[in-house]
Amino acid sequence: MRRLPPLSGEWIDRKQPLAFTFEGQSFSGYAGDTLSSALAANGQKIIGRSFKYHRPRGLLSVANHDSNAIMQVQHLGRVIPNVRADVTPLEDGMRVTAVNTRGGLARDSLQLLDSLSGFLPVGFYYKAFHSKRFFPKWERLFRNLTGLSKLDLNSSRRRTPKRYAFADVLVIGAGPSGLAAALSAADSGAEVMLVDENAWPGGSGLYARGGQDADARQTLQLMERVRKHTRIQLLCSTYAAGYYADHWVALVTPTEMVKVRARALIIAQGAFEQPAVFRNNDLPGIMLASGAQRLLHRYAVAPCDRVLILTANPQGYAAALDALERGIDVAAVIDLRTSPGPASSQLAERLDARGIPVRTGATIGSASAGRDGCLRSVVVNTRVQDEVASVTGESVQVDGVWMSVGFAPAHSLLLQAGARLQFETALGQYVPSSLPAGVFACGKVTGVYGFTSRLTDGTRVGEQAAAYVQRRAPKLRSTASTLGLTEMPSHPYPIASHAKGKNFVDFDEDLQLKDFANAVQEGFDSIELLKRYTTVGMGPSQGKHSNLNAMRILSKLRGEPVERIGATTARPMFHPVPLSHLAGRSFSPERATPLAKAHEALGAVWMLAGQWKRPEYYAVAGLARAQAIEGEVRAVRTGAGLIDVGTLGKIEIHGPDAAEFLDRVYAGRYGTLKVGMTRYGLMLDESGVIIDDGVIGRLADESFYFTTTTGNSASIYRELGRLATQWNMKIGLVNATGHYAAFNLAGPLSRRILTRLTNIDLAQASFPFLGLREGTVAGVPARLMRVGFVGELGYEIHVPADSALHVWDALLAAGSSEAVRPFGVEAQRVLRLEKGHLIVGQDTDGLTDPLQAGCEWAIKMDKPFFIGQRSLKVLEKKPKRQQLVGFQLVAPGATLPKEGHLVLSGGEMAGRVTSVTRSPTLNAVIGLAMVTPAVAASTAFRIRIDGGREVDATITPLPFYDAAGTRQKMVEAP
Amino acid sequence: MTRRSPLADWHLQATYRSAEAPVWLQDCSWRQRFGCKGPQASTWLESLGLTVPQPANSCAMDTNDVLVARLGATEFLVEAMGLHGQTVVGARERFPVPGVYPVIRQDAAFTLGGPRANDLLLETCSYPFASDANGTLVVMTSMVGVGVTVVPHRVRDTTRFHVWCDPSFGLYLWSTLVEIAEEMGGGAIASDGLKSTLRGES
Repeated sequence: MRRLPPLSGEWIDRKQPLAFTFEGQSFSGYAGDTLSSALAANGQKIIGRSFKYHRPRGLLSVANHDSNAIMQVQHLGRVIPNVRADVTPLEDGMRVTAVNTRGGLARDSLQLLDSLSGFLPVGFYYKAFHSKRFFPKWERLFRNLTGLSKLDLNSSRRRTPKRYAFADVLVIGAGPSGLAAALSAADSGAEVMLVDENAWPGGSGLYARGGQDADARQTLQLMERVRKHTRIQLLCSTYAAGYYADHWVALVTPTEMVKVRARALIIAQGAFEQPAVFRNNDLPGIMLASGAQRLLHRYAVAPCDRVLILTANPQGYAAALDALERGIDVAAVIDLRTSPGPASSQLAERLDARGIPVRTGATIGSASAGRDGCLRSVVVNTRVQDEVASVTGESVQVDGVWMSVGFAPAHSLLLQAGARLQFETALGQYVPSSLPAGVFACGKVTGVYGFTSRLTDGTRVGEQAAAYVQRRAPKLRSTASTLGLTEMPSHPYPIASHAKGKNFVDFDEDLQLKDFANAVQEGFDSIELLKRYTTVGMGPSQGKHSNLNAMRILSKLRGEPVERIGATTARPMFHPVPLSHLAGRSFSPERATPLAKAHEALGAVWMLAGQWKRPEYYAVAGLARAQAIEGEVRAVRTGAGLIDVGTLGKIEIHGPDAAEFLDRVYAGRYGTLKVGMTRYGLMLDESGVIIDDGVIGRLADESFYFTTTTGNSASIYRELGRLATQWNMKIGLVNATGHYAAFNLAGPLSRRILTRLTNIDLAQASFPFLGLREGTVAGVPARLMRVGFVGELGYEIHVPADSALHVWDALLAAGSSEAVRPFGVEAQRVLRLEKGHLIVGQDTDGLTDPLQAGCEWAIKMDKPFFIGQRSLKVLEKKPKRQQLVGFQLVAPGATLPKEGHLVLSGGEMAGRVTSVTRSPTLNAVIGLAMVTPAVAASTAFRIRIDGGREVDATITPLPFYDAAGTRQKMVEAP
Repeated sequence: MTRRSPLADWHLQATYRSAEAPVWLQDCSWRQRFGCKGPQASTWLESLGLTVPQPANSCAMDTNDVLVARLGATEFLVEAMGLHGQTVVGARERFPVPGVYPVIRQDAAFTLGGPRANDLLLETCSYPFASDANGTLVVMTSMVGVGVTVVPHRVRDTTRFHVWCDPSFGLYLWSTLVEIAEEMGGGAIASDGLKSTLRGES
């Protein structure tokens, strides 16, 4: 390996030398080098150790897909784990180390595992380490033995915010077809974003030259046109990590994640060159031909001095010509095929003219390493019907093998986008058979391999994408997908078995050919099962070099064609993505009422209720939580309490069809509701299940104001809007949830306090229980509802949000002589449970109907229609599956059960506790439970509490408190 | 009685930046506004002498600096963009009006400006504002997960963005955007620090 003389189009800047270390050894490179190219230029053949057997490994693809080219970098005070050396630019002062070694790369003590590989076949841990006693020890051992980089928690942090971007046409891949597509789309008037994972565009147009420069020159011209084009934005060093619905694509740049919404998408990602499988095919020095060409032409690095080309397509012959052109001795070209195609034959003639031997119908049977652990020689065998014909063969001394036996299209993003693929036998690869609207593909990913053909294909597709965006018919129609194909680019089975194994199929996971045979023999004979058992494709490269060969091997083992094997599912992320990019800044919206600061000043302890922050209770110095809550409960029962209920959904409905609309969406009757009155409302879904509840008040003949539960306001508003449109009703809906603040002033003294602040006549005759009035409170326009959720005389006061603090403060001040006390959600839960009121979503679940919940009184089955009515008619005739009942613990001092604890009857599960509390008013533990009808008809049950103990409960009629309802209706307030 | 901005708690401990900041936010919740919807809403607004935009998701400004934003076929947001809101207050007090339904608007409202305003939007919102700043567009979209209404407006050679959201989300939205703006070298500016109107007169 060595640096070559300057080459036209090379990516390095020889005027900017850079110093770095690898494994403690000092090296130098140039600006424009990647870590991989700089190491290769310095003759560093071994760059890592394999994951499982710790075998020495070198460069394979130089294309960003190799687990062996993952490194750890220290630079500018940061320790960066799992750096992908193939694409990471070299920087001055970098300290680079190999990953997954013990004692360093050269002296890795774990290389012993390679000699023990016979005892460590695929799945050995499934069979060996299943003892419960010893498994934790084995787990620790293997966790210590495996892994890649070491995370440094002291490394400096940096922010990685995400960003949105937009384009008419997003072209992924800036090789020849991508460049042509971008230019074509932009020339047609589209705003184009063109991305490529490499530092420069051009793709194989610049490195796969076949000993000539014509294609490279044309590629450079395209690049120059792209650079100057005002409608093309080029993003290099950027890869598309995943496709999401509606043409959202996650782009990963060196510093951030960019979420692009494109109106059309062109996939021009090309194809991954695939390795051949033969014994010791992982020795440093053996690499993909395209990887060698990248080193040659991008970085002016010779990967070896004497190379043997193993091929099955014209690209391998072209690579041999590139090697000769750059002064590398070519020992021979070995072609797996007995009859190379016309393109290969033409190139073979050029090689023959330069004295390079070409042997067809042959393969490499095995490779051998020298004392340095790198490739020293290979044995070339005759190949007969996919097998190595003889163990003995011709030994060839080389320090390099370049493999060019086929390609796997990079179609992961296409699959994520919903494309359908079909196996094209003539190509030996899958190609798109149908693409979703707005998604296009061109180049090698569609089976188009010739340089000129790719330009033609890209131009066609670019124009079609622009036409799609511009909503016009395309000017360039589709042509055959395999433009100019003269011979198959991929060999159907570039795999040679060997009695001694070590013929690797998956370099990430050290999977050998025999591992697949063993997996199939054990019954894991579908591609998804095989993947999970062997872990093929589950390493850092995600199968880019192994999935196709795995399919071929399974196909042979099952005796079925490859197209019958199927492919594994392609999911985002397509490439490994730094966790820092994914973390970034996350957005979790929180809602707050206008009283947040006031609550804090009063000692609120917060809880989350959906997106809302609500006071759970108000802390009191010297009192525990339970005592503070108990004090709040007593204040409401004996004097007055004030709670912020601004989180309730608040919706107005206006229009001539308003009452009819409410009659349809709620189970109760509202057409008969008098102006100035409210009524409880229960909302059901089509299956009769309770989905929400609230209070509906009538403001005027054609205007209503109603509340929903805190968590459901947005979804209920959306659903009502949908229904209004569907039913074509003359109504207007207003979501006023955040715009109105609301408090509940409750307790026997509430009327006395409120009288001091309002112009509304609060006398029973003027403002009865369930009444609704509009007036002012503390000078602020307000809506008041006399409701009784907590079971006392109470007023729900709704005011514009910008006046909330004024009214809240005024109420507390006005009630100071009555010791009015703010109370939180927890006290409210106790109070409502004493009153026997259910909470939708807590005491009901996704199957609870009003009959089970004991809410028959809230449904009017004689109405012509309401949502859920039809299902209730059916349910009425069936025995109940469950029923909500009240209960009280026999022993008031017993351990408090929790919500969700099991109800037992006769030792059998018979339900669950839905709400439970210790009632300070009743000095008892009370609760609600959803139980079987048989239990509901009985008088008692048991509850299994934490630790498996059981407590006795008696079924108790509801409500627990003030059964006559006299307190909330309180005619004469004290 | 003083009307209180949904962002009032934030202002209690605010550090304000200069209006020359690369990106700034200014609380405009104090402006007088109301909403209305219903079959007669458009006709009624016109009868008040307001300029009513015809297409949905567009807005218009009358000579008194009153913005009328059409949020749907029959739904409007009306706001006095200047310091004087008598026109809007007067209109609001005319309810009830047959066929016109009042919509309470207690929004958290603010203006986003500065040369890097669009950068902040690109980090927080998935709508391509840069291509649509023609001065009449009304965009209803999501910003850091919060539903917002946005009116972009050209002021000389930069674009300002008027943003409205439900007041209960106001503090979260504002705090999040201010935090990002501060990372960009900007932040919140005082309400009287920039005499901003939709017309860009200052």
